Amino acid sequence: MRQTIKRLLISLLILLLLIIVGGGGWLYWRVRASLPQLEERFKLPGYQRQLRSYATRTAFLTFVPPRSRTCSSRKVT
Amino acid sequence: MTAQDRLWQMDLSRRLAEGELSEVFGERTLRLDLENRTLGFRQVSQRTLAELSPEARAPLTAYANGVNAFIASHRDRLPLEFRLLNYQPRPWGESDSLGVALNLVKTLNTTWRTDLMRERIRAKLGPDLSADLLPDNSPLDEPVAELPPGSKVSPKKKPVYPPPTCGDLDPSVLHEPVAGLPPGYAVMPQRKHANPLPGLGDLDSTLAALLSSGDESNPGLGSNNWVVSGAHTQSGKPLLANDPHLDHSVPSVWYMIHLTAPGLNVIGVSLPGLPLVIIGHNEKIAWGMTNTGPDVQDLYSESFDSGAPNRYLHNGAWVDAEVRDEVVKVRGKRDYRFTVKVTRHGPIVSESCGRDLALRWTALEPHALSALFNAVSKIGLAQNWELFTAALRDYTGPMQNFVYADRDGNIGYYAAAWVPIRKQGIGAVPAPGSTDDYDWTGYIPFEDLPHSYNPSSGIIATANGRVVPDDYPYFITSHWESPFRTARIFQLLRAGKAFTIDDMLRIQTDIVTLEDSWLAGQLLKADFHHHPQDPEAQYAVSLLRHWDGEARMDSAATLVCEVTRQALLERILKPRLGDDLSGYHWGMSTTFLENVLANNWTRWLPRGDSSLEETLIKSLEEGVKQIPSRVGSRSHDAWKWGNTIPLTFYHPLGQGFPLLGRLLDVGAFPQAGTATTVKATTSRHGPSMRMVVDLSTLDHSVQNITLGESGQVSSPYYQDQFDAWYNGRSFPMSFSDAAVEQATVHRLVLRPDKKFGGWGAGGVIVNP
Repeated sequence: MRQTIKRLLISLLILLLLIIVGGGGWLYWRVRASLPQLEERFKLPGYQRQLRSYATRTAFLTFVPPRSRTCSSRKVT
Repeated sequence: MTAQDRLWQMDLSRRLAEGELSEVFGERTLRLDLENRTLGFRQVSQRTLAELSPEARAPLTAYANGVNAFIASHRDRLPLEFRLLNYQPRPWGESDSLGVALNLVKTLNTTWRTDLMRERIRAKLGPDLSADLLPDNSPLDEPVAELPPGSKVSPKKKPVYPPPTCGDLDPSVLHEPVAGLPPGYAVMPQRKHANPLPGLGDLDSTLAALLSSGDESNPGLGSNNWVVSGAHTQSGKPLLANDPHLDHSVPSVWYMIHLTAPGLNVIGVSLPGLPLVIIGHNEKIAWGMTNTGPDVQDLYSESFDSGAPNRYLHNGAWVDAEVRDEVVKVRGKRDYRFTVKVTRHGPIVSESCGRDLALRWTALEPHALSALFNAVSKIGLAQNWELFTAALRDYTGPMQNFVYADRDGNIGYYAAAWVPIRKQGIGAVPAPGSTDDYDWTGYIPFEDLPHSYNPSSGIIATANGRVVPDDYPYFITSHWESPFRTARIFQLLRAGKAFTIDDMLRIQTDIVTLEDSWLAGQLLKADFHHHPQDPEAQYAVSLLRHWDGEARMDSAATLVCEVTRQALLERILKPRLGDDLSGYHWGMSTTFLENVLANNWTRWLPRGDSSLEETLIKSLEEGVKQIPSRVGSRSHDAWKWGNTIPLTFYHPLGQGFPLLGRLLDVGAFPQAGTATTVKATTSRHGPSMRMVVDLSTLDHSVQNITLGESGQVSSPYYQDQFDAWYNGRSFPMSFSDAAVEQATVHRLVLRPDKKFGGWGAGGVIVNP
């Protein structure tokens, strides 16, 4: 009887641990998945022209359209 | 790009404007929804969209396209908040951006509850004591505006008040939360719910803060700005500084951006959801804003026909009110239905004292929002004072003290907005609405609005205090903010020369409290004749003797003064206004106390006190008794001002999910400063952004917001700016190509995907 209770408790503990780890993992994945993309080249529907965005160390964004006088000499890596 | 960082905040902001928060939060936000539905923000936004020219509308269309592209491509990985609340955002419409603008207008312009407060005070005290209590000027005022050309100095006229329409206003009307409705809303005819408005707890104010939708009557809500000419700077060119004070929130109210396009190169802060730089600079000019606080909201007591409740009286004839049925979706509950009645003055917003009070407000007037949008768009393009003021000519409100500087070395000031001129009265209390007697007849002409250009002093500063001299020929408001911040800024600017950016930051974070220094002086003077009996009060007086007037975090003297001032107000006012004073807020309350003591107005002497000095010492004793409960200890070592105003930036979901609150909220931290120091601080609001622009070298300019650019908790930019903000440091506003190149750490290229086509102008979703 004591063994059964012990097993049951251990199983419950493992289950609880799995839920916590799983929940934590899900939360971590959720918050990471939605993070802003600051460094990439990609295509998006909805844009009529190319747009570049430059971010400083505080993510202060400069938006630069193509052929703009400003930042025209900048090369995008 | 803004959507990447702030989509949830943007979604909430448009929901606030359109009265749709309860669809997400349930009945806890019903009060906010009812208020904005009643004001008709949705109708104003839609009407405005139709008024805009294609050119003016284009940025809204492009912005909506971008936001919708983000939503469409991120449906499966939206920010955490959408997942936790289990909903998806609808596509962004052009009018949503206009709703975001309306939220800010409302924050900075909501004064109608003050009219009810003033009415109640007049009913209780009569006209003379009311005039004592609610002063509209102070010896510390620093009016920056010149008199309009050709205007003659005229003796100050006594304001005309309409006959009282309510004997004793229900005091509960003064206790409404920041963005709440008056109690009358709960009993409006045709409401389906008898008592539908539950307590909102902190969610109400947290949301209001996040969405920049507080109420300007909050103590501490305000701003500082100033500009000094090259004669006062090390570089020989102007320096311009601005720090708007708003309710704190997670994420920050502002989003910093630098927009470039052919003919446009502007940098500064925007509101998430609104594609405009609101405060900032371009290649030629810089500008900053503080709230002027004009009275542009008037209440009219309408007379409805008891037999036909939708008809009201106008000049002896019955007129039909516009009637609008509203349905608010409430999560987990049945829809909430109610009817809004709109008279010729505006919507009925209150039924206090059994009256139907209609609100006339400049922001709801035809073309007000479209003109405002056009004006702010043009400000960013202006290249000199002429073009800047030409843009302001269209600016309808909220009335702002615009300070200006350009690279040619000019400085200027203009307080722009539609400010009503009334046939009679000053709109300070509810007026009869059944005739035209108290109606608006026009607005102050633009040329006569307060302004100044290259003043000989080379200094312009505003901080929500009175900006016009006593003989200014028009009425702007009788509800100016206290003069202490303005006076202190002038004190510091006049004392120095060869200012640098660091000097400007030091002024922005100055914590000398003129308000408490004055009170400390009064207490020391009173102590000569009425030495306190209580040992704790004696100890408190000893703290004041060598105090330097700085409201540091560990300052015990500041704490003594703050609790004493509150106790003094209560001791003087409770016998007159009743025990519950929590609903009475006005910016010049300390000026009232100054006047009472300086002029020995014994008419305010509480019964049982032999002199006002005795009143002051008794208030000290009373205030000091409250200190242990405020600091949580009986030890004198715990008398630290900063711990009594802990600062926490709250995330709205922290209110509903306490464990998440630990993850999402930022704080609590002790603070230096008071509500009236240049660094304005209370537990819930303070500087929302700090900017200093150097017109000699724009790349030397600095700007920072409270927490960070991103609203996403796991982003490195969630609160990366907090430490600098808290300690009064800032970051470069890289502006030139070379500076931007040097500062860049991330590069992103977004290209059109031809496969999917664009939303295009015709494809944008408008008010889905």
